[in-house]
Amino acid sequence: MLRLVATRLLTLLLLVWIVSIAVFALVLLIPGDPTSTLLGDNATPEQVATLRASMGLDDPLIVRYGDWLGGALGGDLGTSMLTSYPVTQAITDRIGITVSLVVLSLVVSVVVGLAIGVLAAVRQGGVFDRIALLGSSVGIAMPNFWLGLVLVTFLGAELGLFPTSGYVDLGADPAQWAAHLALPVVTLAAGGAAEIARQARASVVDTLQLDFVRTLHAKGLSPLSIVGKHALRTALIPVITVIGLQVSRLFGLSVLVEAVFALPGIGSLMVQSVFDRDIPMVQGTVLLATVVVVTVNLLVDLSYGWLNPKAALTS
Amino acid sequence: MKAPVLEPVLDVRDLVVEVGTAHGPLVVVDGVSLAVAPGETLGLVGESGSGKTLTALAVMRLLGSSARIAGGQVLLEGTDLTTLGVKQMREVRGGRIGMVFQEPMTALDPAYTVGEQVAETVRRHRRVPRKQAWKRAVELLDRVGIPSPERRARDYPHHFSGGMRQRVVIAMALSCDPVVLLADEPTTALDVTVQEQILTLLAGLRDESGLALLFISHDLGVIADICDRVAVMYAGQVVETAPVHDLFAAPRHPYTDALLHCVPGAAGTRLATIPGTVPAFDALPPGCRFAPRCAHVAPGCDDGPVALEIVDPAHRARCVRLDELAEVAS
Repeated sequence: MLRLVATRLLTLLLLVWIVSIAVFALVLLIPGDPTSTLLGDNATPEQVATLRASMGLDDPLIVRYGDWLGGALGGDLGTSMLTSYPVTQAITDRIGITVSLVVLSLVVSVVVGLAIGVLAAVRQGGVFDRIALLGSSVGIAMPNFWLGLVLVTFLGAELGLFPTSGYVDLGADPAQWAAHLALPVVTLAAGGAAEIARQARASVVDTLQLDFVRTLHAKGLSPLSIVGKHALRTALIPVITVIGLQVSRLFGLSVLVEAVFALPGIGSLMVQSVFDRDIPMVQGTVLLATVVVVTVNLLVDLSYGWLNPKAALTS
Repeated sequence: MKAPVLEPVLDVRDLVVEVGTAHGPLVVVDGVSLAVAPGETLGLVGESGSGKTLTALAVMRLLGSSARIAGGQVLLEGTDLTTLGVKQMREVRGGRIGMVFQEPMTALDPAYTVGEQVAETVRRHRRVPRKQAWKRAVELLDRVGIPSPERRARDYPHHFSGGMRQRVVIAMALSCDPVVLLADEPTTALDVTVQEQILTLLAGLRDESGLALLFISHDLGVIADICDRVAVMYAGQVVETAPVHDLFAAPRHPYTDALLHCVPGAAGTRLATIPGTVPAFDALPPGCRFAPRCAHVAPGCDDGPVALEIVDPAHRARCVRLDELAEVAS
């Protein structure tokens, strides 16, 4: 197991390194020059040249990459080209919002999805199963931003049950924090919950048909123990894959949801930076997203070993 | 061979099992009666689809959603299991009746160690602390002949061979000292040498604890090895039941006779087969169900359902021409 973790960690570092090159290189392909954004259209060539030199844009690529990577390893992702605000600082300012949003959405979608999926599987063919099937189809088909707009319009603006935009720190006022995140979390979690419910249902139905389930019945175990302790553990293997994908998906969609609900998180920072051609900011946020995604994938891989002892041995 | 002198601990009376189909229920186990006494082994033999496994599953009330018990009684120490509540039935499963299955490779949960799976059964029925249940699990693994049980208890099923897994399943089935053990083709999936070991183990455990063993198999050699009495099933009915020696020496039902001839003989001899196939349950012959394939079929065979006739106090057969055929044979 320790060797497995070590190998996977090494692979992860390699991957992040490759992505860092890609992220760095990709920005070179963005049309336009950041100096024109900063200086405007009327800048003289001299002004541009001076600025380019001071920003290090004239250095050879490899030197620029080395500087950036060295800084990134030390936690310094450079400074914003527009505001001279440190990128790392900008990320830490906003990450709490995105993390709250993504983690809460993940928890909600996993809990709701698993509960619906398992219950539907146990009552296979019943009324609940049919409603769950219909509901999850709708949940998957529905665009997130649309659901967000509907929720804002009705629960937020019309009924005034929830604030429609903005964010309050957890430390400042937990109740307000929860109220501000409620609609974004529902918006973000709906699709994931539907996806997880479908996968969990299919997987539990399959598992309950396996031979070992009959042995468990023959041991006199209760249905709760058979499903909860035994079948679910085997059934979770494909579900974990879906949950892992949801994390990446939630991060991606948080960009939209943050826009709909005007939440100042990483997603809106990323979008704004791209529009501003604020290269260090784009590089920093993309690198962060990459690290999050590959770390989640690692955790998913490692969980297989716990769920399926045979996999731990062979991988 | 021991004679069944003790009161039967498991007494199945006129068991009827129905399977739901698109065209309505179909009777697949038709009036089966079996009795097993403590320390005794009853073999249940027949081709695939004859209703052997369904009979055993009906005893455990594990038929699933597509089949149900439509009649008869399953008396365990005098209590009719067919009338028990769901919770009481769970106490019986794994507690009073243990069951061993055909496929040891898939019968265990791959996600838990074998020790945990045995200990879980102990905890379920004995309500003992974890440590004590684990200790008992190790003892049981030792008892079924798993070497270094202390260490092996911490291994997962995939670390074990088929024979060893079957030992684990047996340990699990016996963990709460059941009075009846249902063994559904426990050796069919195993190598011949391993088969012999498992049979010896089962016989030993039966003699040690005096449990009643219902041994299901289609292999007459295995049946001859371990059973005291045999019930032969064909198309959902018991067609002959007798002490194992009598059945092999003087079978009275043509189907039993034909089955005995299907056992491979000396090298070079042609393997006998029974012509035709087992009838489908929705197209059973009106009289004797074996009549279409029987070498001794006569005009009276199709007249109507045939009763299980008494040959002698321990021997019964379901054949219209019982007496005529006996004369021919002698």
